[in-house]
Amino acid sequence: MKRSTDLPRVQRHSRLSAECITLLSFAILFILSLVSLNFGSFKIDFSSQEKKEISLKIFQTLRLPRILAAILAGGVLGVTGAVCQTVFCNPLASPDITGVASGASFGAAAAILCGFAGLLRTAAAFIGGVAALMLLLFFVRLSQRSGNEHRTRYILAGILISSAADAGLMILKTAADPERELAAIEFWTMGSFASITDKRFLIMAAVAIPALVLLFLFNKQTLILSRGSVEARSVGLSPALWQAILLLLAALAVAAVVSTVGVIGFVGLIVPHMALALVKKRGKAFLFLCFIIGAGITVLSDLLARTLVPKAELPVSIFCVGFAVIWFACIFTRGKVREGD
Amino acid sequence: MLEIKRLSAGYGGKRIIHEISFTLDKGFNVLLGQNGSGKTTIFRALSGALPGTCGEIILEGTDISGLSVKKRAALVSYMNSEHTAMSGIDGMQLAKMAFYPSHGIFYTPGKKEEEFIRRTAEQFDAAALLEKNLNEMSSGERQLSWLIAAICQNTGLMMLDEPTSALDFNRTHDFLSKLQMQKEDKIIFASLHDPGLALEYADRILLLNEGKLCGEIIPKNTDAAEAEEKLRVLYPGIKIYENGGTFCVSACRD
Repeated sequence: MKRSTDLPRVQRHSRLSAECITLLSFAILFILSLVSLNFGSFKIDFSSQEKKEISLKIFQTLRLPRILAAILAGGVLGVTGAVCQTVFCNPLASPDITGVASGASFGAAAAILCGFAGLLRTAAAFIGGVAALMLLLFFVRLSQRSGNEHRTRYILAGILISSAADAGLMILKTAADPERELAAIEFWTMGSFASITDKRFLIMAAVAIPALVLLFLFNKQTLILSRGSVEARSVGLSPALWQAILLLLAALAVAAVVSTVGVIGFVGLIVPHMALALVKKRGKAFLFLCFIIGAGITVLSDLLARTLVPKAELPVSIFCVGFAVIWFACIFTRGKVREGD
Repeated sequence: MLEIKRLSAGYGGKRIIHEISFTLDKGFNVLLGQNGSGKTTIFRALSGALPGTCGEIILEGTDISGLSVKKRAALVSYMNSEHTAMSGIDGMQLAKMAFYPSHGIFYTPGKKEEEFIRRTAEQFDAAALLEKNLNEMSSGERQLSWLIAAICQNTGLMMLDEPTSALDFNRTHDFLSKLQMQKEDKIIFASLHDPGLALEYADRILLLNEGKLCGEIIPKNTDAAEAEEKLRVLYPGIKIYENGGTFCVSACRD
């Protein structure tokens, strides 16, 4: 009896702390973004009249869009990673299993070989990413004709399509001129926020934000799918339909990000683990936290990428993967890796 | 009342059950059968999870086989014999999913549903599990959490596949006796592996052998000798005694 009277208090405590953690990490992200806004190859200075004009222009068209793009890209990867891991009830799942990143890389490389730059290259990468997803859904549909729906089919089909796209990418790389084109392809697949302008950010946001909002609204369906196909159906959720809807939304958001900034490694895989270690439960707070942590990692990585070596831009992925490895090493050696999911 | 007419189902092209027909009334109905005899296939066919299922499934006068996934889940619930241990999801979140069929796609269960879940869990002495994550539970605790979620779904036909397989001795009897409170307005259809439990708690026992129904027992109207004879089809060598109005089961190996 004593136990049940204790319960409400325990629950209120844990909910409060989840909110506290989310608020706190939001504050950290905010400060990080402000700091990041102050760094760059051009010194923003509003003190004198002549500098004010150009400062304002650079701030509006380059600096601010760049930080916002970093926030949105990291946030999208974090949230879609969480959705993939929950839907497939698999701690190794990430947005990459949709094949979108590989497809987009293929599209971008093809555009580079054709001599496209700027928005045309972005469009080619986006088409490549979406085409990979369509192939994935088509393969899963084919395999489902034999009866039983199973989520490992998605993961296997994703591996199949990613590998095919990677093989295609290798063909393009072999055909590429090593001086210019190959370098451009390599740089693209390592991710960078250097080419972000206000216009490109708005295009990315126009696709990514609606998809992200829907993913937040469909959190309940995401959680139900983690029960498994038969168990999801038994509470009235059509597993094949909702897996396709959620994966489509996640893939659209990721395709928008990847086609604009290139491939950013590891964020989608690692962020949900960090968020779950902090809040313990997959509720709305967990998804918000995935957005904030993902955004924090990319903003910090971008800050380091453009300030660490003077007069040069490093690929963001170096730092994203670096953070992920350090964090994984920490929890791994402390024996806190989750097992049995 | 549930009427099943000429039900056939299986996986891929392979039929496991072939044209079986039976009816179930409100109360606790138990399906007994050996491993691989088709118990789970029957449950899954009734819950709509098996494509290519043929036959009529008529629940309280309406054929449910043509209903949408959501409408069907408002009438029929099914608890699998395996219980996924989702990380970061607690007993309360699991039970809240049971309200999905009765609401719109954007609806989130609130205070009223939480109160209902809490009362149900307290009935089964499992209130503490509502706050615990499924991946941190023992397999028995996890099974109880899934059972509470299935009961919260509150459907006219409730199917439980091996509901007590992971529960300890006390919890098994506790659960089955408390389940009796639910049976007045519901058809409960469960599979068990222990004929002793079936004889003690069931209103009616269906015997399944290699995808075919091979008999039934109404424990209230049956004596030990008759029950033994029928059960021997499934379990050769089983012995049943009557002791002070209850059945005792033992396996005789000779």
